[in-house]
Amino acid sequence: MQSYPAYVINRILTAVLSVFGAMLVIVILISLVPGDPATVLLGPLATPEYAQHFIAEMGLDQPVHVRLWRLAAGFAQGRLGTDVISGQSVNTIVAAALPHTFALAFAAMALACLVGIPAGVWSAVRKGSAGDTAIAMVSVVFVSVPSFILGIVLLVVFSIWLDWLPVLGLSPSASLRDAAIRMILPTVALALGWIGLIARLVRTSMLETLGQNYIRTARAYGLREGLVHYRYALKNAVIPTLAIIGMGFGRLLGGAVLIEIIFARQGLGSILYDALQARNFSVLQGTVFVVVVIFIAVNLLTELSYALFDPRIKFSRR
Amino acid sequence: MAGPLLEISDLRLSAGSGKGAAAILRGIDLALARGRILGIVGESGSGKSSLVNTIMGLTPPGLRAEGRIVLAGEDLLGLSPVRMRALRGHRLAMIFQDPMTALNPVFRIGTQLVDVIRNRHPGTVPAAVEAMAVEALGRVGLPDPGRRMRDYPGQLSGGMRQRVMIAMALVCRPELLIADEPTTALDATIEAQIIDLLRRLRHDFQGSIIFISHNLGTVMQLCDEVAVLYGGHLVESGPVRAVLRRPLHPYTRALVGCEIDDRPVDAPLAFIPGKVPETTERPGGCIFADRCAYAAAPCRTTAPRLAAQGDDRRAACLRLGELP
Repeated sequence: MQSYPAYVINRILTAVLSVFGAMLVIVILISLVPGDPATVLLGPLATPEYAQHFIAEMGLDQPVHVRLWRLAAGFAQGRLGTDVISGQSVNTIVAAALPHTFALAFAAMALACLVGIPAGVWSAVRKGSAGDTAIAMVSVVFVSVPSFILGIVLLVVFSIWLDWLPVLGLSPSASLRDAAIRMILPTVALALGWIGLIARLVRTSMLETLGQNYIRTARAYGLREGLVHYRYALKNAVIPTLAIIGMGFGRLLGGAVLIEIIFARQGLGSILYDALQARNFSVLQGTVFVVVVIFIAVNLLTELSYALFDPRIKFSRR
Repeated sequence: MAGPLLEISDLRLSAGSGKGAAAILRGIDLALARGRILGIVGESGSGKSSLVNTIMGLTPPGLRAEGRIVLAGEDLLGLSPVRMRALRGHRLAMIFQDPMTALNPVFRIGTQLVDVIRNRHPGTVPAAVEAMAVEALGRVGLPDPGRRMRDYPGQLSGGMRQRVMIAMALVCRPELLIADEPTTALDATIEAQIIDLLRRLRHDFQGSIIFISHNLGTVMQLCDEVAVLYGGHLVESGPVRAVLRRPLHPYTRALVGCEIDDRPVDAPLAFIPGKVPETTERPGGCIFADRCAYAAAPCRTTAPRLAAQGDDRRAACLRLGELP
């Protein structure tokens, strides 16, 4: 086992390497996307000379290694590129959209933890009961139905049939209350799958933990069952779940992209979708890069935060 | 107070029913006076741990306990789970076999002790609770107890963790302390330290102790009385020196004979042939007959009863009078 500082350095180096790897993959994938941006953007009537000029401006006439180098050099200086169509900096475009996507993803993850963790503990403690079975069935449905379908169902039921909640979009006014109300459906749609997954994971993990000797010790000293479950067992049981939540955050961002499109919310999702439709590669690669960096950073933070929950990692050297 | 602290009569522990039913304890009768230390010995699978877990009310669900376990006039088997929980950590406390896993790895030692003390002495101010915890750690010989409070179990050695477990038991001031093989998982030198600690602590500890061990030497050093368990039966009990020096029951004799002593190295080691009976076996006669060197025909048909042998000893064997 390595010491905690060595562990931290190791994780950070791995993360940096992952970012470079991701950049390579972005450039290669973009060179494989069918459809020539010049044809899509300029239309069939553009002159070959102008199309050529356009391709050169986007840097697409260069070989892959040159494009990778330019991209890496720009990213390293914090420049994500320039949108050749609007002339805007990609940094500006992404910065405007990021808060919306983050708000949605964090709200969904928070909701998923707030509901999923107690549901998992509850079913583990009442293993085999009717309530446990019910939670298991609902969880499986939530996990197996994709979030965009759940989103559409929620939209139809709560906005159209019941007319309880606004249908689409971000708040037109600056009212925080209105913005919050418009967050409800997308958040729930995104969170449901995670509620199911977290409930299942916590249940399994709790059942294993409840069989451990230290739980018997806590009971042998007459501690209340609530204390045994939610304090002594849960802190142990949540460690493996934490890893899944951290890794899942990337998938959550992916889900947020779809949900943003369904609910017509601005965010990284709508940027990526529009950029892909238009073969607007400069915006596409800059935005994908940001998503990748967020994903890797969240994974890194997850791994480093284990030590907060699990002192065995921090002190394994002693 | 008159009468023993703990009186167990015809205690049976079983699982399932019909042909596959398992009998883990097959009718145990046992009494323990206040302030005494009772050793329980026997091979693995003889029911030692099952017996103490049943006393603690910590048997896994699905097991059925019948008979009586009377602690200071109260039958533990008749108590509600809530009442039983109230006894644990107050009148009953337990030290476990494996100190590496008995403490919660993700909470500080101090936190775990404080939770136990707050449960035992509700309403105590936090500073006093903290002081009690530090004092208890000091009493079990943990150096620098104030700082150890902030350690996680992973930062302590096995011996140190077992001291923490003993401290946890002592702050409860239980009437009955159960120690289930507290030294089995430790190195020999650490084992000696822990036994020494228990011997010193018994002077200021008022309650009774049940001490389970594989090591007859340790039992001899620490205990006043000993009970020998075999296949869920109590086969012999009495004062520790008398029983281990002059065992009556053939199983106790064999067990004592298995102790490694200073015989020449080329002499074959003694062992008991065969193995402990399965819990699903239901022999008509003596539970030990299959492995007994002295078994005769009646041993296979008649089950011996635990009978008094002199003033303070009991043994369950049909042929006691005829044995050499």
